[in-house]
Amino acid sequence: MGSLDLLMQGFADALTPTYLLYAFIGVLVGTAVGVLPGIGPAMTVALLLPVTYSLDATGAFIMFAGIYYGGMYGGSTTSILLNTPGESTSIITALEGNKMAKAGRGAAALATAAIGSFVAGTIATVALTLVAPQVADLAVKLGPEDYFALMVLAFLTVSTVLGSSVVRGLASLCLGLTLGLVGLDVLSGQARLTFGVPQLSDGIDVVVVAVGLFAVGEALWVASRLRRTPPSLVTVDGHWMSRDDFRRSWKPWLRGTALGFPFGTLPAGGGEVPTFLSYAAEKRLSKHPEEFGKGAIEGVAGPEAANNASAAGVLVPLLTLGLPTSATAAVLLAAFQQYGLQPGPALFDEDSELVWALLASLYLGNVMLLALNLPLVGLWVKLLRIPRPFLYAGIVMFAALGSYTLSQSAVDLTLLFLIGALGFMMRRYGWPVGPAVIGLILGPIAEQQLRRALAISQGDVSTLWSTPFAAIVLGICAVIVLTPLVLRVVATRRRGHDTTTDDRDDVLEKR
Amino acid sequence: MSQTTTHHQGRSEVVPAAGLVVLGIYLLLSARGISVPAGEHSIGPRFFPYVVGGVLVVVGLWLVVAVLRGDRAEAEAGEDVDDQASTDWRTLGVIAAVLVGYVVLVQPLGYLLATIGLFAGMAWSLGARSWRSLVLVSLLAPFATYLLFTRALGIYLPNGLLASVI
Repeated sequence: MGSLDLLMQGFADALTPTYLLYAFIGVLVGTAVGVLPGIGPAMTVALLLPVTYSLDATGAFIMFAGIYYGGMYGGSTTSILLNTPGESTSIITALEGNKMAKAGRGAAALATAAIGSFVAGTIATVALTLVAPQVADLAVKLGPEDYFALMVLAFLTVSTVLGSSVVRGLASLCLGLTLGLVGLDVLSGQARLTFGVPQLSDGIDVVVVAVGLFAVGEALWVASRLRRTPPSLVTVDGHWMSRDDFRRSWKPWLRGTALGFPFGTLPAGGGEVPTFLSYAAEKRLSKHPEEFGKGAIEGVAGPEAANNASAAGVLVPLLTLGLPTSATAAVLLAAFQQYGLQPGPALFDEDSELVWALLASLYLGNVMLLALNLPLVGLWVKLLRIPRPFLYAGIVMFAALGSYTLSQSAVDLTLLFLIGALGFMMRRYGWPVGPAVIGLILGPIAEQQLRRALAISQGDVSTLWSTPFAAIVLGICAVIVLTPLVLRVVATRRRGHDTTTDDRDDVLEKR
Repeated sequence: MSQTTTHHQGRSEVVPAAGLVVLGIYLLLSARGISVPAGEHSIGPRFFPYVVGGVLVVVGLWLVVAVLRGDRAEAEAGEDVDDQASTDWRTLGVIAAVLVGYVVLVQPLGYLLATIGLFAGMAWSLGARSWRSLVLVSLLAPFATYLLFTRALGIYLPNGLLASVI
């Protein structure tokens, strides 16, 4: 069967009343939770995991598709209406969108974000549908050494891209890897880091770590320095998009999509890089560069499109290789594992019905989001007014619920709160949280692939770079590690030889 | 985004950085205690703990040095975070007590009663002072959640004391 037939079959599955309802609930709840201040897309998905525990796998993933896109969308609404960004991918949206809202053009900003998200989401989902089966076909041929190389690359890029400090990114990654070691070793059945606690022999559940780091950590962090005066909330008035707004928006939407999707597919931390690139590109190409920083509509349209397109792009490596490249994707991978599914090339063969129903519901979710968000903005604004004590009490209650339902055990709750304290510490010192979640999930998989590769080669280490694919990927890893070192050496040399070329050193230092 | 948010909170980050080193050393030492099954020809279950432990020590030392040389990362921003405020340890202490209480009481009291306590405790320590809304929301929110999960979603939550009532 060709991809189109499979997709049509997927639509036929997704369009049953029950699954449509799941998709709708997913989009609605995902957006609502994503709108709540302090909750980013990764936390939205992690917090809502327990809601799907009682559904069948296909139903659960249809709902997840909605939650994923809805959470992304909700985040940008928050950053337009409040003056501080919730997560790194909506920094730009906050920058321009909030300025627009303050200038009385909030409705136009929200509209260009909503329509841009729809355009980008739909185009990127088409691209996902076309690209993913091809990649899956190629991925079948990859051996354990190739996977191991890919995972090393993912570890390096997420810890250097997410967050501003490389050493702190690595620290976070190591914490995740350590947490991933806890439990019985899959291959040999030996207990590691279990401290004799029987409940730890199954390992620490990803939900507990993700919810602990994101939700409990955030609640503690907010509690430690709660803004006593609520942040100023702009009202959504002003005219909807004018004809001129449309003329200025459509190109940025398309350019943002073109940047966002490919970057999303790379192991480079998801939407962060393309949103910044899109903003820079729009500023350069705009006929009104003077408006940037004061509320230029292109500065909302482009980055928002890039953000949403990358959300679809992230699904390519996740579904075809089992490789999460953003914290949100890592939580989604955990959701797959809960259902005993291992994303990867085999998923397209063995569970093709589920995959295509999931892809079809991504299209449907996009349409629902557009239909929901344009009229429901008023409701989202009300959500932003929830008194903070109740909001964060609710977040902690839900986080605890998610962990408690796993096995009705107080051990999981203890772990949850301890990991929450860790999340608080990481926020306080500016350690990015994403690499820890990715390390936790990818660490055990990377270990298995490494050991499988070495078992096949009977301990010959050179097998790790024996295929061209693995060699190239490891080569890229070496470049990533060595480039900053080389640049630093060059910069110090220059400084020693010639003290007049200060600007050039500055440029090098910034890289 | 702005320079004003950079906090110079002294060198206290040395503590978690050194913690990484200690954790790494612990991993290296405890990895020796992992028994390797006979007939294991590949690298076995000890290898990864050794690698992670080694990297932890290196990264931890790197961070200790970086912090001592004045390297600081920006604390995370957020919608409800006052970037000018200093850490409110009193509130954190109260919350810690609430969370510990929840862990201890959730089984004897049952999910619903304990969660009402958790919600009220969290909301109160975060500054909810209007008694009427505090009582009302703290009763309603956990109750609605409990009903949604046990009745609508069919997920089991042990209800301790109230088991025979609801």
